[in-house]
Amino acid sequence: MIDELVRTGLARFEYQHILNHGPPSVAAALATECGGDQGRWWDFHDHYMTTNDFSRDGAIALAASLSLDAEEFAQCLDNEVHLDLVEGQHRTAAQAGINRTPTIRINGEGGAVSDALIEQVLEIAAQLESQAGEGES
Amino acid sequence: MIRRIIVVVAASALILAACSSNSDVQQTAQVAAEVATQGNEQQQEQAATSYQAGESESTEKVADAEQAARDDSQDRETAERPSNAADQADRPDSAEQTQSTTGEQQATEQAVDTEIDEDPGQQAEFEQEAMVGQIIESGHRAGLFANRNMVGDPDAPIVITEYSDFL
Repeated sequence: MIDELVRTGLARFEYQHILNHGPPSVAAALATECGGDQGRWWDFHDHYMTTNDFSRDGAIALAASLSLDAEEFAQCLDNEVHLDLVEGQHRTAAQAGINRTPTIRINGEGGAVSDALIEQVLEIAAQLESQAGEGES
Repeated sequence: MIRRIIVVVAASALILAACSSNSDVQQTAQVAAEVATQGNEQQQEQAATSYQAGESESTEKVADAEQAARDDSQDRETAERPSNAADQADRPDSAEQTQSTTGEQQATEQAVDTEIDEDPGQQAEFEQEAMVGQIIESGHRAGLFANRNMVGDPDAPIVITEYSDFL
């Protein structure tokens, strides 16, 4: 359903880092952002989600296996280039009362993925289509 | 019968064209060709109408129309020859045509340049559509580097946000 909404341009999908497990969570989030620096944010994220090795060496090995520049990737990790970004995302989420993962929000509202949430998306989509129809007529 | 009259008219026009000044030749020949074409088109329409009505002579009329079309093709070739000759003989006209052709080419080149100028935006749009299409079809999110942690239309009215931790 989300795919369909994104494909039709009704919705966009965003990912925000939550750092509930301290430094290991921070390192994993930084690794994803460093993958993004080389144009592979989602690719790195998807592969990283399937691994159990969230160490520095594990992240660099994954980067190398995805044909990223391992040296540049390691430098990005070690310098914590995106620390402000990931901590900022976590802080904003915490201020909004989001502390469980994963949490899905639609237009800033909602909670865990549920039938009610899906209903909400469908209602919004129907309203938008209705408004578009009225605009055309 | 009508076809023969048309051919005679066309031939007469060609003779007149040959006697006229060079500047009139092309126009006269074109008129002759148009007259011949219109006459044959009328004949073809008549033949088609008769055929649709199921008249007994429809087959013959269709055959006549086909013959007329062949004659028409020959007539047009004949009509074009004097104008070609006139074009070759009349250098100033040829020069004007050359200038006109050059102008058209320049206009075409400008149009192509305009299209090229518009290409980057269209190309970006195509790339985004292809990217989203790939995500939907394969479930793999490769190629989203431009948007980092976001996929889809940045101006989309619905924003679905996932808050998650790797651990």
